[in-house]
Amino acid sequence: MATAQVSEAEKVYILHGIRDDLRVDGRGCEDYRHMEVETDVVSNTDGSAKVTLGHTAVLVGVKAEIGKPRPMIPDEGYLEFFVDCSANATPEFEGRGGEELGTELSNTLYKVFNNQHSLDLRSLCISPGEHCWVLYVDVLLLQCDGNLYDAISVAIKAALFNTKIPKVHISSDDEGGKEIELSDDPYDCMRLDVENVPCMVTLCKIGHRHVVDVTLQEKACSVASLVISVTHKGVITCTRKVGRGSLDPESICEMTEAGKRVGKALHSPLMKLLQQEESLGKKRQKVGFLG
Amino acid sequence: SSCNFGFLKQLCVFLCLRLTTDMRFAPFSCPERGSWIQGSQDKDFSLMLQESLQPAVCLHRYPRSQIEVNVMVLENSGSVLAHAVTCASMALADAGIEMYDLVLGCSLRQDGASYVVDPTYPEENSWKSGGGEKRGGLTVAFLPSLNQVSGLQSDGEMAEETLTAGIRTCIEGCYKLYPVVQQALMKAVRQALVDTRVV
Repeated sequence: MATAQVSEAEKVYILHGIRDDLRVDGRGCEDYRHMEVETDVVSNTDGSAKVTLGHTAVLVGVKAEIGKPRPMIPDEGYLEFFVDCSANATPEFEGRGGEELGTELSNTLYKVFNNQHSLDLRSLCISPGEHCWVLYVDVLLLQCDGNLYDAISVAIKAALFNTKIPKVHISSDDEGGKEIELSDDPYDCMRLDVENVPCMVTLCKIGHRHVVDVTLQEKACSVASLVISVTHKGVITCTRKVGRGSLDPESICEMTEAGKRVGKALHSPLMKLLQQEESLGKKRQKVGFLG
Repeated sequence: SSCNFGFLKQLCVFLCLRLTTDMRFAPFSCPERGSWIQGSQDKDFSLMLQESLQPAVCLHRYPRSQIEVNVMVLENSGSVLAHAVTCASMALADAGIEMYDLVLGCSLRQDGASYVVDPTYPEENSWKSGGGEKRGGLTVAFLPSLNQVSGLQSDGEMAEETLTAGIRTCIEGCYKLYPVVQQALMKAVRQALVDTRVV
């Protein structure tokens, strides 16, 4: 992960501030930075979203392709995740530097979605055992200033909301094989229900308190963090302890509870925002460098 | 050190500031043949192993040196990460590396209202079919005498209470495992003393 060089005096300052629920930029311990979400930013994808959280920027593109379903689960489609930590985000990611972080992030994403309810995978099935939709979710880190998990999960939720999968018609051709026809009408498409898609919350243990949405400076003062992925109903789909230190069991219980609270509260404003953006339709102005 | 937990066999070789870990699966270890090239899941296991072991090792005692831990899974019959953590920490202790405490791993599988500790391979993977909430798996790496959790990972879907109850159950499992591991290490030390005397 990208790191910031912080002196001992700065660490003590940050620690004391957090003890009194006051962070360097004035936020409380459970407050997020200013977040901007924009969907449909890349035209060559079936769905895309860009999220800016403070100085962290993440771009997610979703492409739907027809593939063969997994042999164990023939009546469902599936998702493939790939996270690219490019040198654009921070010079530490040059060459193969970002590979380890990319592996960690993509494996965590697989675990987050590894359950029955996050996304209705049965709706991605075209014909059982033969064809299904495979959603390739590609995450690109544009700028790294801490709290990557949260930004990535919000971006994935927004991109999946924005994804438009063309409707298919299966017909049998003369030889008895199946032919798949994609509908030509760009508005004849299937949308995904992202109600149950979880959002990740990272809680860092700094001193005796836990803090949400840390910047790189604050992260340098913490030894361990807990990443929790929470759905809008408060169901936890994935947890992971990150970092070189250890946590005691009571802290973990407190952090899980706080993470669930914060995560649950994140969903409804996000859905409202996405629906509002969608309703603007053609009148929507594209902002940001991709506009 | 080599650990046998039922049908799960692992070989942990400790080769010698930095603690790097590498966890590999032999192609014949799982029911489906794997490949020799390390996949992304193996790399993720290596990372989780490193995060679990790092808090326990007194790295400041070994400046300007690197400790490499290599784990090779010979036969995977479930709970592979938990047992890899235990095996690796026994290997570190056997090598005489200074540690604050042993790291023990324990995992759990939740299925509806019931759970099983130390699930086997079929128990870990059978839940993919069928719906229902409160299905998931949890692995905890624990330092018993310091009462610190050094590694935690879970997947599936669980309510917060189920998760915290599962963590407590895993911690209890680690406490049960502690005396067994201690006795094994003591036996190895005594055996080594006997061997040196004989020679």
